[in-house]
Amino acid sequence: MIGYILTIPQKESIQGIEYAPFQYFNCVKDINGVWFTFLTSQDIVLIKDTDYSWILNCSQGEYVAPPSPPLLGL
Amino acid sequence: MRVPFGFFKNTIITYDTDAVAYFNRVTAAGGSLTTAEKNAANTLVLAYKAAGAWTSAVAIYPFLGGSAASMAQNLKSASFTGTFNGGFTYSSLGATPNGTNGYFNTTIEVWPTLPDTNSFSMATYINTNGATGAYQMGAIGGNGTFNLIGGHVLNATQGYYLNNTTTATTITDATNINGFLATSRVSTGSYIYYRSTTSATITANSTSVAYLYPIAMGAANGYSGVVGSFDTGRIAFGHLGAGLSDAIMLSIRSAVIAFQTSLGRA
Repeated sequence: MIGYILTIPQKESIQGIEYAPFQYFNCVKDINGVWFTFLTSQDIVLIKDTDYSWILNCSQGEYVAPPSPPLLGL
Repeated sequence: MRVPFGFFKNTIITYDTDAVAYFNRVTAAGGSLTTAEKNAANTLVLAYKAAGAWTSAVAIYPFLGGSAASMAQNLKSASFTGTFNGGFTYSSLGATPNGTNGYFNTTIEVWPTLPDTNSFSMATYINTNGATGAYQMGAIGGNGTFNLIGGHVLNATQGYYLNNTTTATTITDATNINGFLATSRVSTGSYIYYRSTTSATITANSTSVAYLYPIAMGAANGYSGVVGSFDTGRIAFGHLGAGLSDAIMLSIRSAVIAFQTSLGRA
């Protein structure tokens, strides 16, 4: 999945911040420890004219999730 | 026979006061509901009350209105309004997490909201296929106690946990992967899992009540200390509350399926 690549300061500036009513940024780390966030087309419409529009100018890259822990108990 | 315009009589529906309170919360949040959605929500309230499940419910999320503002609202009360985190797509059919960073935070921590180790229930309704290895709902407490519904695992196996820390009970069933998914515990030694057309008792002692991480939907909270195992299944209902007897949960299951069917999103 393609996402927006964030520096640590960028990640810390948006993590858990409400960007629209009842909607919050959530950043995740990829397999290499790089921070990403993902925006749907609906999100892009919401933030394109806000203080968070800079996210749309961040480099984009392929997100590879870290290996999931095994299903608990199996 | 065609009825000339103007010969229709207005149908006046009297809504339950709790349904009206929910409609008002949706409006106050900036959302809106169609008449069909209002009718369906009202019917769901009445079904909960008729089944004897209304009082024991802490949260009922109907996921109506097609926006984050409307879907975040709790039908049961003004408490525990949810939040959407990360990537979601919203429509009248439900809220679809992106499988990477999207989850719905119910804001409900099992402790102290539902402190009885032997009384807990949770349910969801998923109306599209999700991601392999993902969880649909739940949290792992800071004390290692699980309250989870995990599906789409190993292609057809689901794991269910409820106030227990013992080995998972997994269900292998290639059918009914989506739809209504629930668990309810009303005793120490076992609990029951439910799908749309099946249910079964799981023998697993309750051990403790989870704390620290609120119950998530579309993912599992507290998984390795963070929210993880993100799903892609579209969420169309959520329930959290005290334990429900088998008879009551079966009534709720019927009501939720009827609710979804009436809205064309079963």
